[in-house]
Amino acid sequence: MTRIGFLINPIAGMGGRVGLKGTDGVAAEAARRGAQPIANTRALEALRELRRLLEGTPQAPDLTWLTVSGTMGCDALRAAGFAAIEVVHDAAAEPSAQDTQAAVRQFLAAKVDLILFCGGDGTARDICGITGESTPILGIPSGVKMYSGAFGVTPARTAEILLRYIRQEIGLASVDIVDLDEEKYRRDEWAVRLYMSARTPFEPSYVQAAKALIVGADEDAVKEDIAAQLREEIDARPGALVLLGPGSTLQAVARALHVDKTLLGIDAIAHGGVVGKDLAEHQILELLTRYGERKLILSPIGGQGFVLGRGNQQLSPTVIRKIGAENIILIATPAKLARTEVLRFDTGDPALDADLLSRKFLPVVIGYRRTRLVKTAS
Amino acid sequence: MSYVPHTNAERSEMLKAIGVADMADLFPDVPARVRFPKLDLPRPVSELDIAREMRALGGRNVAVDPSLSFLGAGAYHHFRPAEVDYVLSRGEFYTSYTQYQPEVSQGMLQALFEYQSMICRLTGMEVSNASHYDGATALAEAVLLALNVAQGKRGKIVLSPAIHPQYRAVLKTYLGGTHAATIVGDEDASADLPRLTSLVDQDTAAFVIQSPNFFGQCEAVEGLADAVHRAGALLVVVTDPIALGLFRPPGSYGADVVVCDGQSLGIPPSFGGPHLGVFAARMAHVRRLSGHLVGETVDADGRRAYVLTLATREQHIRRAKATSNICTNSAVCALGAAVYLATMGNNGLRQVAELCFHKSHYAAGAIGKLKGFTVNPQAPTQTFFKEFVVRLPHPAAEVNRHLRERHGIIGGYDLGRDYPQLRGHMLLAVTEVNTRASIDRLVRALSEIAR
Amino acid sequence: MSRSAIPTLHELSVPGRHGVDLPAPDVPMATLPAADVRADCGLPELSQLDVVRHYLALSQRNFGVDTGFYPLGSCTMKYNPKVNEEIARFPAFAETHPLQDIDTVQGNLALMFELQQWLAEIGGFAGVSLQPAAGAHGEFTGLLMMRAYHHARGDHKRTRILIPDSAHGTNPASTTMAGFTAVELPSDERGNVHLEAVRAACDETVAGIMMTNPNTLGLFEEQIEQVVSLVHGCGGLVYGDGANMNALAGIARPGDLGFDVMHFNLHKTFSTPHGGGGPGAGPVGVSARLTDFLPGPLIARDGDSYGLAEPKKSIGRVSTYFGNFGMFVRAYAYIRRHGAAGLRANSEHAVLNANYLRVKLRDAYVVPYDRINMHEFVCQGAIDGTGVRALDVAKRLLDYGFHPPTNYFPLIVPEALMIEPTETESKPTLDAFAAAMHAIAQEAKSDPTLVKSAPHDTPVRRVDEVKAARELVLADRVKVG
Repeated sequence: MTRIGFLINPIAGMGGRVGLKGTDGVAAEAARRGAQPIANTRALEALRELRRLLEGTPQAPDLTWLTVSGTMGCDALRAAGFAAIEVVHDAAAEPSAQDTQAAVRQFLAAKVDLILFCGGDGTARDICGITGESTPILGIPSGVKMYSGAFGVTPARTAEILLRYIRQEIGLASVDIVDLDEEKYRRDEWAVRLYMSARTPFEPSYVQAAKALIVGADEDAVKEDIAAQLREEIDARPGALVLLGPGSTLQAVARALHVDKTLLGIDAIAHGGVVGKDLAEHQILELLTRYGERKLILSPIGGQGFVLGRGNQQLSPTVIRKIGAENIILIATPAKLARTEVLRFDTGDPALDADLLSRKFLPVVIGYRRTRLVKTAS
Repeated sequence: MSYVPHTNAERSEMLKAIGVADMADLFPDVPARVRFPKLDLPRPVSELDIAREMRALGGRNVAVDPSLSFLGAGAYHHFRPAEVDYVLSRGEFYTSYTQYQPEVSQGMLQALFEYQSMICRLTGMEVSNASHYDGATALAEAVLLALNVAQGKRGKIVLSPAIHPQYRAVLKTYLGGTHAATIVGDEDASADLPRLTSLVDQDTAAFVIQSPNFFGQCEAVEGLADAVHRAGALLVVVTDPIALGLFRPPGSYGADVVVCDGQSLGIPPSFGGPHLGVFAARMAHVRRLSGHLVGETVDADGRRAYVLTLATREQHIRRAKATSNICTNSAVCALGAAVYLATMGNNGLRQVAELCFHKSHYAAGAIGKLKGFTVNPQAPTQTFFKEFVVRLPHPAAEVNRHLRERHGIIGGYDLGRDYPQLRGHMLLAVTEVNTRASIDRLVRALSEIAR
Repeated sequence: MSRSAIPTLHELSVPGRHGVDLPAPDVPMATLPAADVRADCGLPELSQLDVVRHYLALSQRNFGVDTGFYPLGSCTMKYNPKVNEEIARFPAFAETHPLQDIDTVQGNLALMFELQQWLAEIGGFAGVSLQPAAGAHGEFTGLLMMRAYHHARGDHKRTRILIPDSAHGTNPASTTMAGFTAVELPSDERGNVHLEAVRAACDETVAGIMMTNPNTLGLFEEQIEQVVSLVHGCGGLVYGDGANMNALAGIARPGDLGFDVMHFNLHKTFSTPHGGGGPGAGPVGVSARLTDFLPGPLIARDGDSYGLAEPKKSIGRVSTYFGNFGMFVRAYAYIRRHGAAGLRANSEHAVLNANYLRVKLRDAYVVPYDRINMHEFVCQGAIDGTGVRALDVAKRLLDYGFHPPTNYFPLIVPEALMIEPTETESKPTLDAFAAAMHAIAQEAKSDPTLVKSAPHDTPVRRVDEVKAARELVLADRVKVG
């Protein structure tokens, strides 16, 4: 018996077709421009696919749905043909983020196994703000911008991933929940902000364990491999300053290096110990004056390959210049790279960006003594 | 040409379906300058003539009568029950691949599971893999396992010089690539067990001995495991599978890993290969074992079934500095060994081992009485099994030439090739295939050149 | 066919039952050291007939090339000539001991010497060592030689090996084992290794590149000469994974393309049997600059007789004795049977069969690189809109009496099925396989449950692999502890 919390953000995705980027705060404007709600269509697509897959699956699992009334979930579930539905929250006539949050609290109280939602990064942020990493989440993509790592690639694929997770064929991984600064995005600036991390069913990258035998690689094990590689590089340069960047991959890797790091903060190691935690820009600059050799370890954030975006207060263009582009070490798991076709840099300083992107391929550490060359965005 | 079954008509149809005019058009991406080279190979031989030609090639070897061969040193002439080759000739087994589709591979999987079980009982260990290439690579794997257990924090391997020289050479080639460990102990060929044990310390990952050792002698293993474990190291024992039919297994005296070459278990010497790497260990180390593991489970209908399991170990194995890429094995030889052990059984293996014991002692006794010949000069009272050392009155090559040319006997191994202080010493092996008459003939032949 | 479990040897065992009995010693008995002797070996006790029936029953639940079509990509499951099995068992070969005086085994040495020569000729190499026991073993040997070569030139900076992302998993594993760092290079849209990535990666820290050609997509690398030139240009060496030589024997020589070292798989290209997972043999061929580093001893000829030679800067032994001699005998006989023209014909027909299957299947299964391939090709096993995945197609093929192709490899094609028919399969077999694949694609749409719960007609159904790993039972009622 699997209990799934389900909700739809009815206005997610309305902006795109009428030339608006995102809908936060501009729902009325979108409606005025004649935007149709698309979240419902996407949700229905995913739910119908799920039903079809369940029918074609031997020993299909029993599902019970906890959801919100009307357009925030119940309607779509009924339309897709599900019957085991329990409405745990009644939405307001004009649904808003408050409804999302109230529903999630109900889901948590009822101890659902997973929360399936349809929306965009904003919806993901609203949900995670309450669940943290306690309950896995999975997003049916429908917003205009999808930078968080918790979404399936398409509604149909999301249904497949959900089913495989319920059948215990795949496991969970930690992913970055990000958000764009909406205002800046509307001004064509890619200020991707890391918000927090969440657990989501994750299609693993496969490794060839032996000839013709392919097994799913365990994300946590891969991060430990990366940590082992970094350990060797750090130990080989005892006098160097090593800065650890933001993100869930860095956080997991830091943990394996026995550094208790926050998700968003920049920490520094030197001489085998921690010399700075959660550093501000000026603190980083000060440290840089004291160490000749320096390295900055970064990982692409979210699902779109952003290594450095605008609005990063600690890793400002000044800091990056002082560190030196050649001293940046990139890390990522193969599963993350499977969805990241290119690496992106958008620091706000065009000359610095050009420098960072001047090499068409950059090496990314993906395991112990394993790196991969990944294309950079043009 | 019978190997390729196509008729002209079929070939034409297929080319047409693909959309090319002729066979040469199937290689558009191969650069013209290197395409279709003229290979300088001999003209082909027909199916009618190939056996005859190969027989002639084999005829350029001097014919070997196993009962008149006293050469061992890691490869042996032993009795092979006919059931072994009967099973190994089944095409369902030997033309199959590794068992990645368990639903149609239950035959090999169950056979290998049974092999694993028998190896465990024979060695006194708790888990065995489904084989390595040979004894030497099994030993290399055992050392890598010990380094992994120590998680890279220990870098020393204490290695007995009485281990097969080629095993030690292969191990050193393997470790040369990674700087994962240094080897001590075997540089001094005269080092005895107490001296080697004194080298074990907190930096030691493994202490490796062979028993019966390369010289046929049973090492004094009492208390050894305690000393090794006190230092936090693993005890790795190389052994002989026939000896396990008679003597207490290494598992009973505290070994952590047991390896050997299983060629003696129903596999012919075959000029050195293919042989069989046997690898068994304590269950605590199962996740660091390389090679295939067959496990028991059930199928969708609840039937008992077998499957290759714990494949994700490979990732963990890759993590440490000392890594392994060994995943192929010697499966058909493991099958052969399983058939041998099943056919000989508890009783039969014991009989083989006793025959090897008694016959080798008989030969040693008789040779020891010859003037100028000394048996086991460096360890005259130590228990030995199947092989023993003889100090000769003349160089070993001369002795062997005399034995061969005058008496059609293949003599023992010239120990001077690997141990400078053992020049003029020979390692003689006597197994159940050497009759009393052939042993007496050997003794008589040696007496002719006694001083 | 009966589906009930076949009892294990220990379950059939009855205390006191004898198999083979050996005679009492014909020599006076020495005293056994009582304290060291064991009470029993724990082996089963069965009659000879018990053993024969047991293994015969097991053989009937196993699928080999002799049973049916076995299109495992990059494995080359082709006919294992029975005459070679007879020849390998000649006592003149089987009973020889590896440490015999070399004048008594001139036949064996002649065989090995000629095999060294022939493999060098087929591959376009200056020297060959037969010692490595398998492909992965050959890879490791090749990497050690590459390192030794650079060190001999005083160059200790070369710590990286470049590897395309389509490579066999053993490539990065061997690389790490040999102490190098693996640098994975992406493929381009046509399935070749990305030339720009190679260019970006080549510098003075690169020891070499490991290429499989044709690659695991079954495609001959269209820019191989440029890749070789770039790597040589920065001072690196080119290693060839010879698993796919069944497309190239007699068609092109890797040495002519600039490869510095390559392993051959005798159990693939040269028809020696796979044995359910071994034994194989992985001889390595090298260009002139690496001959000094080969693992010794090599077989050398002096007039009419043969002896052993140790390469001047050998990396040392990688196997005991000479390697898997029994497989050399079979490979030798194979080459002797076919000669140059026969080897070329075999490769041509392997490529013919693979292309024929590609065109027969591409309407039902997406072929991402739909152009003339070599001896194998890749298609996607997932049927869109049904939830049926490559694994399910593979299992359903078992019901049709075929062994499935390789699943999920190469990793760069999602839901991959890698199909290598080999040259010894006839057109009717290929047509039957294609028909089965089409039928399964139809079933996926009309009756997906049937496909997803396959196989139905095999001795066991899908096995519980999770349970096998969670509740480890690796031996039959062996007391633990």
